[in-house]
Amino acid sequence: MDFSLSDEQRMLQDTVGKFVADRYSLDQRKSYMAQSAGHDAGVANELADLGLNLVQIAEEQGGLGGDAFDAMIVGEALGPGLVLEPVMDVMTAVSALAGGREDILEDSNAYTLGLYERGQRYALTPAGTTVADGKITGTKTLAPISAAATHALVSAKDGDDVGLYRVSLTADGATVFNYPLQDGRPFADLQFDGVAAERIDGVGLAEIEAAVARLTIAECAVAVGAMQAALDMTKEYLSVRKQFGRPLAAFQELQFRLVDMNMEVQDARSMSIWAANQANQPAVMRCCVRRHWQKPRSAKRRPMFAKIPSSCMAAWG
Amino acid sequence: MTQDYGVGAYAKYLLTFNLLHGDVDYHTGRVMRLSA
Repeated sequence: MDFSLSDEQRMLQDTVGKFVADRYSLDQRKSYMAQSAGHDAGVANELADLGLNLVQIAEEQGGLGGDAFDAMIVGEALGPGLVLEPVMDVMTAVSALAGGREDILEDSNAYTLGLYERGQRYALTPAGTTVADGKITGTKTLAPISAAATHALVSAKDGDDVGLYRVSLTADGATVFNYPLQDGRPFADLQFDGVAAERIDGVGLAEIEAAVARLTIAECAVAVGAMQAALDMTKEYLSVRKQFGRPLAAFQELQFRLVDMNMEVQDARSMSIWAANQANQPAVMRCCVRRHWQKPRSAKRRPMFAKIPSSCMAAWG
Repeated sequence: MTQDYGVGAYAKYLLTFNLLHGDVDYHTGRVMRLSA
């Protein structure tokens, strides 16, 4: 198989990589996190100007017509910056769930996603959010949010039918509870109490599952980028920091650890490519992400995403 | 200390990723909370 990138893909990777290097160093990220919205609005605008929300939109609708691999390239380039804005959510899921509506696609940065509910774990079938007479009632959790968000795409049940609805976050009866996740990214719970909701035609449970699958693949790619950045940072530290008159990297035990971590990152990258390859089959893709990538393959083996950070932190002392 | 050098930010991100998308090892999650 040929894994080399096309000229357009390389350009996309370079553009995003340059933005992260210039605007998203870890110190800059810390200062963005300290702001009241949990991110910097100016940087969010610059990020929006890169046009990443066009990547997954079909060419006939004015987008770039990219596939899951293109999303993966963007994700891996964004990974080292641990970007606080919900770029991947907008790029993959909002674009896919807009149902081709131009008013949503043109202003996709103003949308957040209300797809999960408390107590439902990863199930996307809404349990407590219902629509009656064009009014939505219920609470959604873990909505990736930015200061620019004015609307939400919310899944809800109308009788037995699951649909996706466009809801204003500023309307009477809509309440947004903001909170940061442990890594600092701004998320929110969305509560609706009889808020006017407009159904997005042609989007049902199958389309929502497919969009979340695309998003998961893209987020896995971001995580691969973050793992690579943590490993590079650890490698550099071990070659600079001296102990007993030698750089730490000269000790065999630490060399073994670096090799193990490098293999884990390569393994995760391969799984990310494989998942992107299965993007059109959400069930197979989920199996790849959940079972092979994250869960231990034996009782002694830990998930990669738990192993890399703890191994890196151990190396730093 | 690790957070000052920056690698802790990646560790936090990756463990949050695990919590959002799959299972995270209970012990690791607990250690992360203590070191946060």
